[in-house]
Amino acid sequence: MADDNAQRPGRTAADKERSRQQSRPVTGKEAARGTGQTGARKGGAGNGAKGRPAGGGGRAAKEGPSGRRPPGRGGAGRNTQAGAAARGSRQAPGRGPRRPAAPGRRPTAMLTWGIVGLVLVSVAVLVIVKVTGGNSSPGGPTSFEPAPASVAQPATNIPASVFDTVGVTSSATAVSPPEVLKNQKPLVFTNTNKPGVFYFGAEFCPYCAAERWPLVAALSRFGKLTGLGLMQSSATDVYPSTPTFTFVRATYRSSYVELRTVETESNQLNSAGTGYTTLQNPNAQEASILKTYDTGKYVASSTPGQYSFPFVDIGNKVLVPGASFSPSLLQGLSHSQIAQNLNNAKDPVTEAIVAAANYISAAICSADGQQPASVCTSKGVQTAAKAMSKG
Amino acid sequence: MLTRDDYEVLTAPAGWRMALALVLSLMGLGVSIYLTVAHFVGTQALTCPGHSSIINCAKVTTSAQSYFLGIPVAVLGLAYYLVMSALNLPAAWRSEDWRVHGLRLALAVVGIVFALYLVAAELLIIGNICIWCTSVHVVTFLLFVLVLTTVPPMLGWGGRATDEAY
Repeated sequence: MADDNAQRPGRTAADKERSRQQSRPVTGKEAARGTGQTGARKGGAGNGAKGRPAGGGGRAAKEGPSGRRPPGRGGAGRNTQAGAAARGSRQAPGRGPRRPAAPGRRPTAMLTWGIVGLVLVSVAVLVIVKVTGGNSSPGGPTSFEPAPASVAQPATNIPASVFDTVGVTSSATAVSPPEVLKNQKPLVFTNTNKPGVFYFGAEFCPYCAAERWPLVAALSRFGKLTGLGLMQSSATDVYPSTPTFTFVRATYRSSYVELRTVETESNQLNSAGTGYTTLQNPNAQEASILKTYDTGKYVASSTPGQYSFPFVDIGNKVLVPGASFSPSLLQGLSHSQIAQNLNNAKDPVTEAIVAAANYISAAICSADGQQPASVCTSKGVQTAAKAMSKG
Repeated sequence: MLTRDDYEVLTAPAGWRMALALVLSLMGLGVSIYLTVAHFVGTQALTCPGHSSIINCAKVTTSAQSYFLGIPVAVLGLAYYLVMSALNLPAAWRSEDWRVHGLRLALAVVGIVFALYLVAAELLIIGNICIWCTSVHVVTFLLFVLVLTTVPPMLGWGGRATDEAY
């Protein structure tokens, strides 16, 4: 901007020289107070003597009343009487009142930082209200509700023909294959000699809610799963109240694999409303699994640096790093509605659950030496195994 | 009532202020692009955060409050930072058109007010915060502070600033 003046026509060589010397723009204090230094820098008494006509001088007159401001540099030397006269001339009628010289920036600075402080205080108040306000409906431990036979029986006894018919696709939603690991030490739980399957989840979690259906279906092909409880994901989370089971009291007997489950939290908010009540904690070996595999390296977590669930480690051969399909598919359905349709291979919800179950079944087969053959050589499992090997 | 003709010539602020404003705007733009893509493409992982953390992006970005007047908040954020990035280009900072600077200041105020609304919605209605959204809020706050301490002195409100001061 300082160079503009030097290129203006109709200016004397002296003016141009003065412009060159004006290496910096006019400053507030200088403009307002008219210090001697400023006067010297801004063209000195010469300019001041010339002053500027009403309208801000020749340059402003040329530019006219546009959105641009009239120039202020190259103007009167403000430490001189002539300069003062020039300033007076700039307050001629038609220009409006000139902004009064401010005593300093302190009041404005105080206002500015006051506003900034107000913003910070507002955020602090919101945080305090959140932390101390608690929850209007804090939850306590809920009573365990065993899954009735009308739900548990169809969920754990899906006909083999349905598995084979569905394969690994669903007409209603995308079903994600699990992640195959390579060159990992097989997972065997302490004091067992069977390949281990480790599930880590929480009752509030809607994605865990979705994934339990195929997990129950698949595990039931390799053993007997009992002690299932009816559960719904959190009513206040995304995909609220997704119908599902809880593994909190589940037991599993299998000749092929050993199952360990951890439901780390309930679906009931704690008294402070800051999280859900704790149910179960992983033991040392389970925590080690989480530390190794439930990380950003294998799991596309929405929260970096934290464990994510659902998380299923099948013998350190295959990981299920999240729900295989969206819980939205189960929205608005009851446990019974879902369970009763699991013998219908054409039902879109059944398709998603069974497709995911075929993937888990193929994963278990890869961990336990392809046992039992009736499951591992079935059409549905073979289809899943092929799809996983391609992925 | 002051008119624009009553102001002294506008002076561009210190270079670091222009650079910082542009960097903050581009940071906000980058995260806004991510959130917008995530909103429409659905790249959210189908997982819950461990230990029922207060951080839960999926819950925030799929909540009713993720829309404002029927428009996805992510899209509003993208549009906001597109405009702010343009307004914080060095050429815009050097503009002698006072309206450019007035618009920048007004948008900074609108941005921080909207960010406060979103923080309130996250903490008091949704009950969770999204770390990506929070990063945008922090950027919005920093940009607000920067603009608030830079533009009014440029416009001559409360006295022009000295070069040293700004």
